[in-house]
Amino acid sequence: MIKHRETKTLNEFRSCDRHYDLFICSASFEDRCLAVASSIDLRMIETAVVCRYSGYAELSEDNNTKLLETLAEKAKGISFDKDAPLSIYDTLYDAISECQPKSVIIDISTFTRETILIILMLFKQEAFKDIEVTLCYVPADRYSDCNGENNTNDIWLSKGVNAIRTILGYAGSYTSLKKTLLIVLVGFEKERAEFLINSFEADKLYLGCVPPKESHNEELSRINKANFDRLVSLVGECNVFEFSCRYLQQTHDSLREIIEANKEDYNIIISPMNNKLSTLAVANVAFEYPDVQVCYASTNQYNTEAYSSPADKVILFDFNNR
Amino acid sequence: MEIKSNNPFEIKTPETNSAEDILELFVDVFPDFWQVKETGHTFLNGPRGSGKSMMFRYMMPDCQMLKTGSKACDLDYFAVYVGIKQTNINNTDLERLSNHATLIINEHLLSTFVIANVLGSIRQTFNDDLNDYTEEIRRFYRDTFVEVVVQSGYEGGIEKDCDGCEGNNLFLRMINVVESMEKECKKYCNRLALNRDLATPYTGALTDFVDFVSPIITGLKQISLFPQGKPFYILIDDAGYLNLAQTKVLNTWVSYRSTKDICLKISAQLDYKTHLTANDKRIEAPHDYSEINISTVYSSKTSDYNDRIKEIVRKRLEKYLNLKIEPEMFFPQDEEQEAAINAIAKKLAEDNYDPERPYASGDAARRYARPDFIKDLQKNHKSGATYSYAGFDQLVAISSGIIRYFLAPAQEMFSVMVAKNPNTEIREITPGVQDEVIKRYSDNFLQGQFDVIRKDQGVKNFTLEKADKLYNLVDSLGELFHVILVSNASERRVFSVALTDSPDEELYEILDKCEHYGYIHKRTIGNKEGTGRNRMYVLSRVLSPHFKLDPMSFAGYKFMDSATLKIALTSKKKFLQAMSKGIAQDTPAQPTLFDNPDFESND
Repeated sequence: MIKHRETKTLNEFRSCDRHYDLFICSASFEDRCLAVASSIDLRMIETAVVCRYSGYAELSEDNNTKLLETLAEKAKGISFDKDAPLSIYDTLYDAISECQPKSVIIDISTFTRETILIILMLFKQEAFKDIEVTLCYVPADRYSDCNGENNTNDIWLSKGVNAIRTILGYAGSYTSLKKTLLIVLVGFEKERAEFLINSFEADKLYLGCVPPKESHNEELSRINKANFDRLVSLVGECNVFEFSCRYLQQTHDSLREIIEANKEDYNIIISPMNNKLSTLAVANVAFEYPDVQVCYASTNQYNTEAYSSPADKVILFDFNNR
Repeated sequence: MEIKSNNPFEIKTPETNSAEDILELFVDVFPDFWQVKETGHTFLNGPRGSGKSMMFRYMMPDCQMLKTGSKACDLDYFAVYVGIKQTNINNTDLERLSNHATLIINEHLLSTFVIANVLGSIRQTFNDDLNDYTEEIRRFYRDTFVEVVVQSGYEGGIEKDCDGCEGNNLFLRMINVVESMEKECKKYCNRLALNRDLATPYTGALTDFVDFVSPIITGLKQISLFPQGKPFYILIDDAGYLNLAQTKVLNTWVSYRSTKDICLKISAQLDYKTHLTANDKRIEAPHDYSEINISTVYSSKTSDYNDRIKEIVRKRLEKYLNLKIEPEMFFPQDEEQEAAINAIAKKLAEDNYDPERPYASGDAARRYARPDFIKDLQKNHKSGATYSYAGFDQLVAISSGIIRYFLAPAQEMFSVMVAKNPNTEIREITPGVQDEVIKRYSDNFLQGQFDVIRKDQGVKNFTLEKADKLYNLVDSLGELFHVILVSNASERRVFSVALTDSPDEELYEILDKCEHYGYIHKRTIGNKEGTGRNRMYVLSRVLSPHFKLDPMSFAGYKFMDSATLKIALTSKKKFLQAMSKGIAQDTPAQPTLFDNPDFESND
């Protein structure tokens, strides 16, 4: 299970005296990917693996270079296709096996939600079960439009849906004796959520929204609410529930309540489409209920010109992978 | 918080509707798609929302018994529903199998999935009525089911004694056994995916069509509950969600031509992955199966689509609003606009009167009245007036042969009317609301998925991905057709392009995607020389409000080579420049069926 350990400012994180054998991070087109790496005292780590998505190699080139320079001789770069989950799993499996770490810290801030869930499943395998895993996350402070202006009404983060698939290792269990229930943790990407909902045509639908007090900031909350209301008006009959963008346990509890009430009658599918923290809560739920399926709607295109800037904080989690 | 919806145009998944509801709402479309009910394998292709699942639901025994008033054993066929959802049989864990007995494992998964659903479908329909056939079901269980399960190598243990078990419970037991065989295999696939050890042996059951599916269905058919001597129809809905290996396995089943006992009715949303079998041989129509494309049938001039929608609307208005009125009354047109168009038509008829060409005046009125009206509106755009897409006939034309494209905006129109007129019975959708909603629907149809607006300048090549190119292509075609509509060309009602040569791989792929998303329909047309056929691509009429086109009368088409069309992938501006000479020239009128016997269908 994943549990919140502590939240620090980037400066506090820099002065932390904990040691890790391996640091794993992602070189993204978002500058948010640099926040943790540039705050790490190199004495804190033995080795670093810098991952990048091959389809975005040119767009992440600058940040990849910066990360490799920052992490200097300790860094090793690997790449994989964001739409090839098996390749993501295998490449990371090999890279971690090579390092033989006893402790790992993973900056999940700019990995896709699918990659995060794959990484967590990887560390639950027999070969890696003894590794002590720490996850860290830098939330988005604000989002900007293509012109770098803070015009959140027009924000879009991704366009189109390339594929809908189960997350590797999270296929769950299906029986023809039960109907289908879909739970979506709705975020900014209304279009992706709508596509997913229409594709599944589930017998029962739960849409999760984040109340303002559970959001990282007011502005993000306002956008989420507008997206959510529009989605509800489009999908017709559904059940609405609340979850948290900040507290794993609250999201876990909300999901558990739905699962317990429905698991006898429904095949349950969850799609995490909100922030990375709520995705961690979904992982916890999937580990608790292996029959639940977790699925992902892969996007055609990210808005590489209009993404987030980092907040001045790092949230740290312990992952008890045994 | 529970949100309930009550709207006569609400779209519900047909599987969840009762037989009574289906019978009340279903409009008989089988005269258009008669092959679906005939003995034989059939592929039914159509975009999402074109009515495939509704047809399948209507074929189910509960609906057929209610409709005919007869028992299941007296039906002409016995249909069982097998719905393929996004991830119920195809999951990412199976990808590890790509070089590891993939066809064998996927055939086992498909076989067990289909049989579990066949048994489940029967049980759901008959429940405790199965107890009336307990003896026969026990015989089937002992003589057939247990035997094929044991032969499959299932080691989960199967109870052979069934003397104390009634028919319904015996069905449940069989479903559990088959699902256990499926789960055992999925667990193996999961282990293999995560531990990466391809040497991990598989020791579970293995099933296939010949030794499992076929004997079970043939055995079931002997039970007197089912029609004797008639085939089982297995309705496999949304087969595009199967993975490649499963698709090849299904095609192999089609190639067996076992239609005396089992007919496979396979639907897909124009996304069926291949027609190759496990041996990489191709199954072909009409040799192995019959094929229907709903869009092609419903976008032809001779189709009864308009009447079908009329019937659907009539039934829904009566059932939900207790309104017995014609759909044209519920969706009235903008009378002021129609009067103005009629006045233009009258003047055109007078101006073009020629006693030696008696059809000329009517032809001119028909061809130019509406385009001239739209052109006039555009000239006087400062007045704020815009063309209204209200009116039942226009809404049907805009729905482009896809029932959902009519129902979805109608649902929103009704909601808007309710919001504007609380506590009032809704007896019509005003032209203003119709127009407002259908324009928004058309805009969202294109931009909802591909709102990637890139200007010609400053585009970095590496960011111009397929989604952008697809958007650019549709946007360029729509703009071209609008320019033609408001030009002085003799044929202004253009909605299609005919390619004079073959598209390259990239263009072909993007045109294919356009069809999959419903932005275009494909046709073929006799070439100019009369020596062969050209590919023709027809823009979906759903986009007519977005591009300010006339949805009612698409008659012309534009010839071009694929190199010219390819310009549209990257630059609308350059594409329109390349086409500008052609626009000044006459655009040939689309031939009628009589003019060109080769022509498959007209818009």
